[in-house]
Amino acid sequence: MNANNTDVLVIDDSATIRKLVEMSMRGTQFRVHFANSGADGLEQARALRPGVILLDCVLPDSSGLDVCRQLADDDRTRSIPVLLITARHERARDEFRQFGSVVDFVGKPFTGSDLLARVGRAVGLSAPAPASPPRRFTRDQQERAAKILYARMRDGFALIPSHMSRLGGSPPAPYFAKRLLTPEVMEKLLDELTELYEEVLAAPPARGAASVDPDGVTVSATAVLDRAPGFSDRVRAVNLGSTSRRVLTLIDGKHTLADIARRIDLDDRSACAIAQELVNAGLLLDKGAAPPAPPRPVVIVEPDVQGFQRPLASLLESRPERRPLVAIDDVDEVVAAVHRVKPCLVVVNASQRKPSVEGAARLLRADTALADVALVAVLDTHDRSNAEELYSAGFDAVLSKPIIFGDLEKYIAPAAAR
Amino acid sequence: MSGARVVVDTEQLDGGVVAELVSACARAHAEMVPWRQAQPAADRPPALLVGALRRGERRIPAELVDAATRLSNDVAILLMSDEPLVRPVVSTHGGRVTLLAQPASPARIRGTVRMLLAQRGEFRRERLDNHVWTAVLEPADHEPPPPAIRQDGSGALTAVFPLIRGWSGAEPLCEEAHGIAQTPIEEEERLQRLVELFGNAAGLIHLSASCRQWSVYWPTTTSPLLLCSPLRLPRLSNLADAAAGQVLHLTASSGDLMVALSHEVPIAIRDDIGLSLSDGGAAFLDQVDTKLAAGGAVPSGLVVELR
Repeated sequence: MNANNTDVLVIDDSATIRKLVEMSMRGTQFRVHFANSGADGLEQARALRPGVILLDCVLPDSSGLDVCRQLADDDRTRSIPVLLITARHERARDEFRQFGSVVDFVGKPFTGSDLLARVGRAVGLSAPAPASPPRRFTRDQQERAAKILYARMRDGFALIPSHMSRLGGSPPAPYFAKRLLTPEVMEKLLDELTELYEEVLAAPPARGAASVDPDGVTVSATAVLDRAPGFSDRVRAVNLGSTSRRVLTLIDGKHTLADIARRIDLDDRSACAIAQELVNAGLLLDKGAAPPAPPRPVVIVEPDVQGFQRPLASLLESRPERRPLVAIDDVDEVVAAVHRVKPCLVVVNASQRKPSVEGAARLLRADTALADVALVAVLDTHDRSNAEELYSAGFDAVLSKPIIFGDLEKYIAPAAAR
Repeated sequence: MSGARVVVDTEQLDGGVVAELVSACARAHAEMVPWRQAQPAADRPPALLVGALRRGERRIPAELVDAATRLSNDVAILLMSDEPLVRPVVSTHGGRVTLLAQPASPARIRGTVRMLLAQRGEFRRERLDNHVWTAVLEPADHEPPPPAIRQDGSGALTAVFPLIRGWSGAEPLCEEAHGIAQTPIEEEERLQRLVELFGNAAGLIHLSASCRQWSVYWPTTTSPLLLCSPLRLPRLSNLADAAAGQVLHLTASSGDLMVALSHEVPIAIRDDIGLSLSDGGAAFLDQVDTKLAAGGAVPSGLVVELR
């Protein structure tokens, strides 16, 4: 074979796969070349004669089968081993059986070490070990970062399978992203992010920027933490990294977080981040933190008790903070009720077109002490001819029945946060 | 048995739940296989894998993911949660994973299995995709003919629902109606074109691409058009009055259930409908089937559920 064993040609239009391959090969003896279409890949393969070709099954201008066929038809490329990148091994094995050059299959998602081993085998080398740069992050830190990244982006990752279906590609297996965030990937990702983070930190803060911990961590190193009620039940249901487990075993309601961090050789910032996660998971309580304020109620003026008031009360009750509903019979009483119970939201049925509905809204809006109370008008029908007047009177939203509970919830959440 | 295979984690699930699953599988002519006895079968991959999701767990148990991967690449997964969730039924991972919240009534459990099996469970008038489940109620002889349904690649769905007996335009006019519903035109023109197309002979239910909005043309108040959702207030509304004289647009929301019926039903039955609709569209169909088996008359109908 005249091919250059250290050249690897990747024919794949996916930027993600290309990045992953590039990261996996970084620091090894392999030189990686990329082609993002079948035509470009064939041209490069003929000119470059790489030691191995990594080929995606689906390309923008042709299929993996077409590319394999053309590689096999050309004397210059016939003997180059091909590794097929595919999510469907079994089907691919049948389809590509005819090509002797297809020596192996790389499943999606793949890990860097697996890819290196397969490439090494394909070019007749023993599995090449990556030149190991000194690790900047411990395994624990990688695991924790992977968990945090996955938790924060879970909703986004969850959308990917449906997008893939729409684009005609194969949806990845459930939790593909979690499997993708391997320690090897996280090591490189953290390197990149740290550099970026350092750049950002080096830049002067934007004018008027508030002094907020970028990670949203409110637990301080001086906090004294204790186990939360229901700890034993909850801890069984939560997956924890080994450092988190070590922190958890030392929490005793007496020592500060900084003391505990010192005992396990952990820096304060990491300890606070871990403790915050454990607090968020309901496992720990900050003994020094002020007790949470009781949830502010929702006030409602709505004649439909059976169809509207009761289901709303039950939906509010099912929220984590179990928010109460205060029902008022007459809109004339709403201003006094708002002053009395300090609600986060007032819902008023405005179908009767009573001047008092708009009058009440104007009175409430005139009181600056009630500026954080949201006002929502509900209409029995889809006739919205008085919506403009209601908005002018100070209502934040005018909704027609049947309304979606989420449309009310968005006025509850900010108040709850306050 | 040649029907669909349903693999169930009988060891982790509560006995009462397993009993409902047995009943649901029997109705669907599906074979229920205990998970740890299930072997991959290329010719008959399982249609559904049912497992448990313990309180506090926010991830699909790894064992279940491995089983799903081993048994079939595209098996649907139903997880019986131990706790209440934001909705009684939550669909994730592009519709592949369905979570059933507590409390789940027997009707809800049976209905969810029916919905997830749909045509694979030999419910030939029922269709399931990533975001929408549709079902047609078989009309009796004296009822208007069945509705025509058109769904395009973007997920946008249009159903033309005949409102008068003997009208046969649903199927031929469905494509044109789909175009009118989707075209960005003035609302008056849209109404005008639908009036010209259907007059009083048919209604139209349209769900936009990405399932963001319902649009309804419903030229009668005698045929109910019900919108039901546990996350709407009120939970059950008849849109027939509100839709008079306009093309009605409403924001769509997961859990929405739109039910079109060819004629008004007695109050007692409507209460039943309201009750069974609270358990989902498939539970409602179960109830309709029961009424049919008992010799009761049911109107011609269409059910569209947004997952």
